[in-house]
Amino acid sequence: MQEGYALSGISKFVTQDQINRYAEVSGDNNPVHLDSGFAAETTFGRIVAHGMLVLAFVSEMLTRQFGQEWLETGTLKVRLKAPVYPGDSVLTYGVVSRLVSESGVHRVQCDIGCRKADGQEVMTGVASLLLSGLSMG
Amino acid sequence: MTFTVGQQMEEVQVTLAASVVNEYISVVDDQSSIYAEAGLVPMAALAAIGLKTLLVGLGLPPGAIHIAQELESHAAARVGQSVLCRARVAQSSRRQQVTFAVLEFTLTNDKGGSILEGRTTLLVPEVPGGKG
Repeated sequence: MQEGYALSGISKFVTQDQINRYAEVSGDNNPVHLDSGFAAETTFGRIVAHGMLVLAFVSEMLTRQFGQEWLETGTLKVRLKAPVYPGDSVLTYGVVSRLVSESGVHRVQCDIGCRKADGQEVMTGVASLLLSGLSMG
Repeated sequence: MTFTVGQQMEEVQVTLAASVVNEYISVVDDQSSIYAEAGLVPMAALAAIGLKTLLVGLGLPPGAIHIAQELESHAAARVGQSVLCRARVAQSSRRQQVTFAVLEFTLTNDKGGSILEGRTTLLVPEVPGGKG
């Protein structure tokens, strides 16, 4: 692994059923995710997916790449740039932007995010973690 | 809605039951093999638990919008483990008819060791949903 290395992105298709189930399991029952009448009166104009659902997709990409070391040492900082609607397809992405090695431990920083099929960014940010080795996960 | 900086939510003890963790993994369609292999809990699932502590504690109005999230993991959590969630209002500011709030949460293990810290930024329109 080196700077510029691209993580394997993950593609997801978001459905209303998934949003409903996410609301149930997370306890986030904000009507902007569940009530089409309420959502129609918001700035979004219709139901939107939970930002934390999209964040779960990005975290899955990092888990699949880095394994347990992501779960133990990972940090993440993201901004939610645009809503994801039921019926949207999204693709996560990540690129190693910085790699610093010291005493056998490697600090990896990645530019990360998620975009829709048409290229619109829905989430952007930075993730970092400590790795004991640089073999690909 | 007005947020009081420093306001602490009631602490919540949560057991990371296999049924709940597996349902979360199913809902977000997480295909990572590590959870089943090592009995670990997704970081985003832990964050959702922390956020729930905030949502319940604050009684956020409908239409609040999540605009940014930070997470810092200190240890992996295992299925069956118990975690203690604490949450507080860190910052609040008001511009025009919108309140911006920064809320923080921490998850610790039963020995007080930190598992995850989170920082959530919300935008809360005065008019639910933000129109008008």
